[in-house]
Amino acid sequence: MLIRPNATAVLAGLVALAALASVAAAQGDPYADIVTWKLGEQQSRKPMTTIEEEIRSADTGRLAVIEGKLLKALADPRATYGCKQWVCRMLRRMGTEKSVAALAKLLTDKPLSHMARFALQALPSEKAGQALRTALATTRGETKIGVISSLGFRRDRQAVPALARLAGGPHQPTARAAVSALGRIGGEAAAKTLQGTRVPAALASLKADAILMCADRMLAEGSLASAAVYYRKMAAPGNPTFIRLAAFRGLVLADKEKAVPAILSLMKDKNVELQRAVGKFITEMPGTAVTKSLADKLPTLEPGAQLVVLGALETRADKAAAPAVAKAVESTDADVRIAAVRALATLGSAADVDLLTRTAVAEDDVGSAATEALAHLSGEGVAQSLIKMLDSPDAAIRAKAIEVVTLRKEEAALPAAMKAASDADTKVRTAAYKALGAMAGANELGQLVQMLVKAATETERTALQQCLALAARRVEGAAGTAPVAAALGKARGAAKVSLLAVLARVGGDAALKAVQGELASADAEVKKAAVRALADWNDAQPLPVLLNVARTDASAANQVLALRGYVRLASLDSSRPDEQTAKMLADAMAVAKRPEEKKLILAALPKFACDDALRLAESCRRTPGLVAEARQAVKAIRSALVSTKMKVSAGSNGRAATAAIDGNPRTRWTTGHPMKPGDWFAMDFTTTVTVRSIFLDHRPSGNDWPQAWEAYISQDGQNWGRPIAKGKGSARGTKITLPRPIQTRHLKIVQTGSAKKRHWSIHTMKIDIE
Amino acid sequence: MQESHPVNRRTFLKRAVAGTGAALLGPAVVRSSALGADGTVAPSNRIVMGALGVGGMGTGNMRGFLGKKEVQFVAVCDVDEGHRNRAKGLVEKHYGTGECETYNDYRALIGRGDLGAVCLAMPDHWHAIPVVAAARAGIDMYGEKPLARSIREGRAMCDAVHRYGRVWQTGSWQRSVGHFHRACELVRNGRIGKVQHVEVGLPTGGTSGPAKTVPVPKGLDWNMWLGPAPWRPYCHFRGSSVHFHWRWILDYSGGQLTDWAGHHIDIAHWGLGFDHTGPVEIEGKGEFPDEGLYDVLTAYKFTCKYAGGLQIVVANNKQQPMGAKWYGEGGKWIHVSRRGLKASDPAILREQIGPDEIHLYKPSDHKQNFLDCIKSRKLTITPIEAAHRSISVGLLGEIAMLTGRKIKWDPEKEEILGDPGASALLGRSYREPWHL
Repeated sequence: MLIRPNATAVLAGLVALAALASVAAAQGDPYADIVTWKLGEQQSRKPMTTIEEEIRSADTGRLAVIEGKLLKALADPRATYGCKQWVCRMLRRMGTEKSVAALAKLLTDKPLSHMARFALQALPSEKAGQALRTALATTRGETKIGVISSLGFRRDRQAVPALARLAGGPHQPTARAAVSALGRIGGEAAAKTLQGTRVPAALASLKADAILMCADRMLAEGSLASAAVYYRKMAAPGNPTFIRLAAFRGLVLADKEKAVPAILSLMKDKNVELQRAVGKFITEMPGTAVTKSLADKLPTLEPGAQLVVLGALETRADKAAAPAVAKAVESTDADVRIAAVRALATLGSAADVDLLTRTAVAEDDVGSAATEALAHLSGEGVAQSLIKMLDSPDAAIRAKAIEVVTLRKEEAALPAAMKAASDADTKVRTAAYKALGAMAGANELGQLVQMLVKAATETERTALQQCLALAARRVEGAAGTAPVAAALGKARGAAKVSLLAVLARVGGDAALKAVQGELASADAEVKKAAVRALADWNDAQPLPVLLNVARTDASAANQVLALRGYVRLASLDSSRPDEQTAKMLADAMAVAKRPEEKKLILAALPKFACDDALRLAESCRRTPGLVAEARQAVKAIRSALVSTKMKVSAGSNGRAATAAIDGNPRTRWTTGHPMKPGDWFAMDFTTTVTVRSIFLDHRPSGNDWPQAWEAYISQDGQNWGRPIAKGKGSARGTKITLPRPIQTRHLKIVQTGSAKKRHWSIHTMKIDIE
Repeated sequence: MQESHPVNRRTFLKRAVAGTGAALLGPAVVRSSALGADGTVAPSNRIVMGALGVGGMGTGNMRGFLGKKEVQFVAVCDVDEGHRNRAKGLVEKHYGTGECETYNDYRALIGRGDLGAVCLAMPDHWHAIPVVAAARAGIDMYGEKPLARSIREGRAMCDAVHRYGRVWQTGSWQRSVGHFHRACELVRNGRIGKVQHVEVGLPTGGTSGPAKTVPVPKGLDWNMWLGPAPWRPYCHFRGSSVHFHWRWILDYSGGQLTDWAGHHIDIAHWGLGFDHTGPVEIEGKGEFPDEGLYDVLTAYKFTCKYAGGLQIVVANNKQQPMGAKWYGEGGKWIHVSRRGLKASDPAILREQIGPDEIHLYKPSDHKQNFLDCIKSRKLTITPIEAAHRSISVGLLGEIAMLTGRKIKWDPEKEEILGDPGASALLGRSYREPWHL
């Protein structure tokens, strides 16, 4: 736990101190006050912030006045280090050529040289550059390195000769800084200088890096031919591979199409790293001519290189590569095939649908990749080509084509999918049912209903039932129900049973009316299917009907079915008050005859914890066969009631205490300060309960577990007596286990350890109550 | 890659280092067949990693990578002895060995010569120097946002990473979260019409009182911690120590604004396709503490105008809600934050993105994406240029509010136009002996 700067931890004393300082500053001259300001002595920064605000709101004329005042403070013999440092910061923001002389004097002052550069480094005046170049000769050691660094940042090309001498000098840290600065300055003069400078072996790669930086600068400034000269030099064998790689990259950018032969030749290079980097170069090389050359080379490469080139061709997205990539789909190497198939998703067109569909039929990784590629393949005619595949003589192809049009949601394929629903091949028909379930609309519902009514086997009927339910649910309003309800009246036997199940999935008034009508059926199986449909409903609408069936139906099986459905629907999430649901479950309990249903009701009760639910559960505690379930329900309801009614408080940050019991692991109660002995968190259960243990979860805050704790109980919240348990916290969450189940109304946990940096936090808590 | 050259980066690099005096090469492409049947990876095929900066964030990142079967951590580096020893303990406990080296100086870590990748989580002022050095050494990097403390540093980091073809991933993990990705894809595909303006909400900062000098905590190399930043004595940083509260001091950070720019401005840019550009005008007002140690912006609101007229308004969350909110045509909008995804009409959120439309980088496990890209050498979901462009917005806003002036910016050349004082704030001089 870390203290936020805007937390209440900002001490009142500091606020008062700041206020006093504010008054003092308002009374004095901030430019005079800053002179004696010292770092780290708890002095007010008000004089500084007053001037900073003045700078922010000043126009050019006023800024010149402020600059004069700042320079006066800088020159004051009493000026402290803290004052000078801060003045340099301000001169960085608004200093002009007028400040150069004063800042130049500080360049040789070891403690202040950096701050002088802070202001001078980006000052556009030539005098600033001159001051830094002069300081090259008058500074030593680390101070000189700082000056070199600033000249590099300024890209001071006038400093190149002097830096070149230092780059070849004996002092390695200085030489290192000079080489880096020359690279940062960039351009042809610096590159030429670096090329001709001998450096120790330890700096050779840094020098090569600096030359590349110079070439990059030439490239950025449009001197492509000059840049290419240096890239070629650095790309030559004999240079370190990482430099050659970077040089080839630069060459691609500078030489453009002229670099193609050099890059392609790398595919056969003995250096595997260069060979491997071709993919990146290929991606960055513009032009279809490059794509075609690469495509021609593709079959001649070994599989590893093919993977690289295929990936790069995919990224280039130049469709000229598609024919060669399509050929690679037929490779004998599975990884190459997968890479080719993936590339075709981007590069391919309608012409590749046949190949990809044939490939997708395989039940392996290549097949999966091809299916995914077909799902994403874009361009004119792709959908039509896929639909044509539905006429393939090969059933596996037809099934795959339907699967893909389903993934793509190609509604133009609906007629073909409808036709495929009558295909002789089972797999094709199954795929067609899925397609229709995903895409069919109001126009197709009538046909689907007829197909279901005429289904010859149970398997077909089940698949069509699922398909019809999905389609009918998607069609909003009566249009989704009407064809099914209309067919219900005429259907017989198994077909009728299936239609009832479909209506249960669709729901709504019209569907309910149709299903309710079948409760009067003379056919016992149909009536049972109607009860089952009501029990499977997706909302609470059939509750009264179900309760009535459970009470009055002559069939014991229907009674059970209806009662179970009633309990399920009553338990669905709703805005109904818990008391009302508890009453409904009490009605169900009154109707229930078998222990199985009574146990079901007891299991549902804790979700609707209220006094009525508790009474119902308690009333079953002595009922033979229900004792254990009733006890469990009572316990769960009591726990839920306690957590909703209980009140919490804390020794500090009490307003946030409820965050520990809101059930949300993202919110927490925390001490608001590093934990110390005596920090406490208390619970008032509002009634006497029997507590076994409490689990404190602080894991979302990492280390905020209590170092050590003591637990106290009280009946009045005032007198706590001696601790009833003690223990230590744990990173995995802290369990407060009481020595035995204890009856109490109040319980307090007192933190007894110390931690310098960590707070004590509670995100959620779980109370185990008997 | 040839089958006859199994990937053994450690051996390979030792050979390369012996020959050239520097660590050079990127890790090889690891084919799926390099994975064992049970998904384990032979030690010789693992990506050898080091961690640079192992405080809270760095340790969290390291833990994430420790859980990846294809990674082998061998070293940790931190200027706080306590941090590095704790990290070493974690690594050694994870592998059940005693082979994790510790370093105080990043140069020693990078100079080992066997690292394929590092994860970096130092204070912002310490981002640029080791990243450029690691790029030169051929090391791939997972680095924390914001990318850099200054725009000049960010550009230098991008250049080095690009020059040496390094794989880079920023810790802007929101791009790897489904609902952020979904929001950006909907916006990019015009589901709210042409975007008119965008609001980005970021956290509000806080203040402190004056600070007194106190002894440097035992085990902390304070001079190294300061590195290229201006010298100051160690002081009472409020709360715990400097390890978190550096973020409220301008020498090291831009506060909540720059910390979160790498999250929500990054997302706003992603939704607009602005990963390679930036605003042309920036103007705004901010509140700086008028007292105390902390000096970064606490409240802020600035407007960034882009070429074409689109505006992004960035403000702290007392002025506009956290997250990114794109306003389109006809009153349509999409708002995404860590609390979820909302739209002016819920139907917008149910829209499908067709095969012919823009599909953004598919989100997955953020850290796994980095490892996958080390193998494939492809761009990660959070490439360095995107990180540079998102923090550039935050830094330009900071400059506009520090100077109190409207900034005109050339996003192509990355230059402030006609304002030398503001231009000076694009870069920083380094305290000697540090240099890029």
